[in-house]
Amino acid sequence: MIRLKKIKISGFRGARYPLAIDLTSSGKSIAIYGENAAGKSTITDAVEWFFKDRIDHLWREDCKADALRNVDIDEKDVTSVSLEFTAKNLASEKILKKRGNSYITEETNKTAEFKTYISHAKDERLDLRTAYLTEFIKKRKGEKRIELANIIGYEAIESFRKVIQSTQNALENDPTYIAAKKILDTAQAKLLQLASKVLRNQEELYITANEILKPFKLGKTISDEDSYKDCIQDLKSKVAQREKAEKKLKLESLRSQCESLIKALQDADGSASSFLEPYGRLIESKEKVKLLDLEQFLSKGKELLNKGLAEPSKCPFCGSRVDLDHLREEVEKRIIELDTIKKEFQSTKSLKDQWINDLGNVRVIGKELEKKWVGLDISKELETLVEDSLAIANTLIKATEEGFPRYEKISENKKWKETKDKLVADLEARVKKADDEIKTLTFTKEEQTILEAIEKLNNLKTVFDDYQQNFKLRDSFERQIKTLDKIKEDFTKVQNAAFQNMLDLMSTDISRYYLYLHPPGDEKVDQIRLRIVGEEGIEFEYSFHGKPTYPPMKYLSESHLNSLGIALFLSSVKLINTKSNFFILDDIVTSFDHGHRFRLLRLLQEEFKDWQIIILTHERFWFEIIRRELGATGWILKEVDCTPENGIQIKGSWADYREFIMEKKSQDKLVANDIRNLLERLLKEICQSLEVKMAFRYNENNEERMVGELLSELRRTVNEKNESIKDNPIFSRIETSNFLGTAGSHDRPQDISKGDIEVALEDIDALEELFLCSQCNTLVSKKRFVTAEKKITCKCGKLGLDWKGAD
Amino acid sequence: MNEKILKSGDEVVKEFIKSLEKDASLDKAVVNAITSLYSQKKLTPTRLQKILDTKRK
Repeated sequence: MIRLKKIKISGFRGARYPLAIDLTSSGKSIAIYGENAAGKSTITDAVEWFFKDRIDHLWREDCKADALRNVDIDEKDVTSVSLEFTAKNLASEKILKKRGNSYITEETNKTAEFKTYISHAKDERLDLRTAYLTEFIKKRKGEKRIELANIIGYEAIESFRKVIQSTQNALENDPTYIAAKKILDTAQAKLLQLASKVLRNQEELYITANEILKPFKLGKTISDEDSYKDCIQDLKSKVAQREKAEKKLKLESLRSQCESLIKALQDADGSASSFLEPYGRLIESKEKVKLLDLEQFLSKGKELLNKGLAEPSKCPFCGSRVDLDHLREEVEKRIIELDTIKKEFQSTKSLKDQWINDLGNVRVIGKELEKKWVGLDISKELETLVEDSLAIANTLIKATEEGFPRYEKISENKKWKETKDKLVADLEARVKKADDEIKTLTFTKEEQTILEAIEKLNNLKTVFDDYQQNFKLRDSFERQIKTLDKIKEDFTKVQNAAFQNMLDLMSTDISRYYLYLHPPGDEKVDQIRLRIVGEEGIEFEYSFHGKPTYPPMKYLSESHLNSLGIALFLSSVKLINTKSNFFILDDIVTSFDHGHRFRLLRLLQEEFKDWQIIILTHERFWFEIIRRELGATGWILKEVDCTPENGIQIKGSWADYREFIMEKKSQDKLVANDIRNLLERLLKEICQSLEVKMAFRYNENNEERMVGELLSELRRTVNEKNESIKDNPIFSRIETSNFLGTAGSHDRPQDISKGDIEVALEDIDALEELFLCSQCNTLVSKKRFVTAEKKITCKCGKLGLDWKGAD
Repeated sequence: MNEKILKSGDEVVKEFIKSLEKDASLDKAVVNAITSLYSQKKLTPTRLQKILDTKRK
């Protein structure tokens, strides 16, 4: 597995100048201390950005690329994070560049190996911050399930289930399906009325039809469509008054069609009210429309990205350079965020579809009516009304289909309302007139019987065809719905088994880690596990005073919840991180009491000794515990400092600091204050090495000694112990350099020239040379006092200074 | 992901879809549509619904 060898951050967040953290070639663990607001999280931010191309806590607040650049760097300065790994070929520098008004990122490592690693690592659990410790625990059980699916890479499962469920819902609410069921019910009732039973197939239809024919002794039977028509023709030929008979049949048919159109208009009226009111309310809210527009824009963009129609590395929205995979993820996330408003819109969609379907029915039945009235007395007014209604219904369908996806206002226009009402009234009048006309047509008893049989046969056939057609349609829908339902049901079992398997694996670790931090002896919490709750949720279950219970918030204190958060993170690290062998714990013990901090360290030592851990903390006491517990096991311990002038920097040796000054100097930055600090650090090292005596001071006050005091005490010691260097001019020159540094860093930086700085650096180098061995790079030390020669030496012994006594 | 023990979400879905082919109680058109769309990474409610619409006509 891969570890970090070096982190170098520059011009990024709190790191104004290059901040380098060397973790050695084996990738050692490190603890970094820095006071509150010292910018430690810059390190976590840098690692997160490097792998994920985003920083969650910033992106959530809509602070993006522009928040990554250090505010004090110049326009020309680069913002970059470079990481070196134990796998050498994966080293890369990620650079943020400004292009126009936006930013783009570039990776220096273009290899396939690097890309593969990043695509794995971006889904791994690489950091835990205080703010997110209990975020998961406090989520609702449904949210926990989604979050956990994302953490463990089960999005595919969630997404599949959602597609099946959504499709099933869509089919159940499909207007064609709803209409088919409605027509089927009506047809069934009519069939019962006509045949006294439901006719399930054509054989049953023909049997019933032949029974109607039986009394007329035609000498033939109905066995198919053609014979059905023939038999009706034969019956008609038995009627002497053929013309009157045809008219009666036509009038019956007209009446029936008029009644169907009245019913279709009433249905359209009902579905219009059901749709227009909630839809009107929805689009009345400008905020909601804005979100719907955004969702639609993003969905179109997602479609474009999924179809691979976007140019490589080019944003299809704005044309700037981007990582398309990352953009796709971002777009999907935003679409999920807009899910509620989309659902609200979709619920109006099925109502809209119903209305469109009903208007379509009005058109179909209306056109059929136009055929039925041929040869009958129809008023010009009714003809025009039907014609107008069909045209207006068509316009309404078009306007609705066009306006709905654009969230435009849709209404039944005044003309439609007037025409429709007038049409219903005229149709009712025509039905009454048809009844009256039928009454005037007199036939013999025998003819009457034949006509009734013909009408019954015609009706039977029409209703049966309607029944059959809609039965097939409904059946087809129900077969699909039933299949989707079974798939959903079966998949729920598979999905829950997969989830439970993963949850069981995690639960074992979570419980062990949590109980390590809170042993069951002194707490009443035990047997912690993650379990599936209902169809939609996942929750932590635990035994409290021997009784199983959930959720954690019910009884656990904030400190216990934090421990649970850590236990969850650590278990997911072990389960999910298969490529990266490191993780960052950023200031996570803030609300821990001391006992639990010790336990956490021991837990890390025992369970994660094979992992590279980066601990960031602002608590000195905790840092000192880490130093004592882990310092001897090879952990690196560093402190960071943050000044407005230099940003966040690792507190290192004077040699590191000298390198930093040269870097700043090469960028033409002011370094006077740094000269003073450098001199201070060098003097502290020399004084420590020579055991120069100073007045007693407590703790950090001891660290705050200034150059003046250090230099004065050093000179006093040198005067006493070594006569040959006590008059070395470097001591007085250093006092001048200190003056330069102090003046330059406070009131008169402009008075200090580049030449002055160079002289000061030369003086510091000269002081260093006096005590530092050029061969072994160590200072002469009082600890290496050679009694026989009365000398103190460096480690290798090459550099030695006369020294009067070891006391 | 602990690869030795856990299957990825995609693997779970793929295996499940494969098992659907053996279930005679299911509508073949639905199963085929799901199989085809998922293998093309194009499984969405809208696309599935569109295919199912054509299978009813």
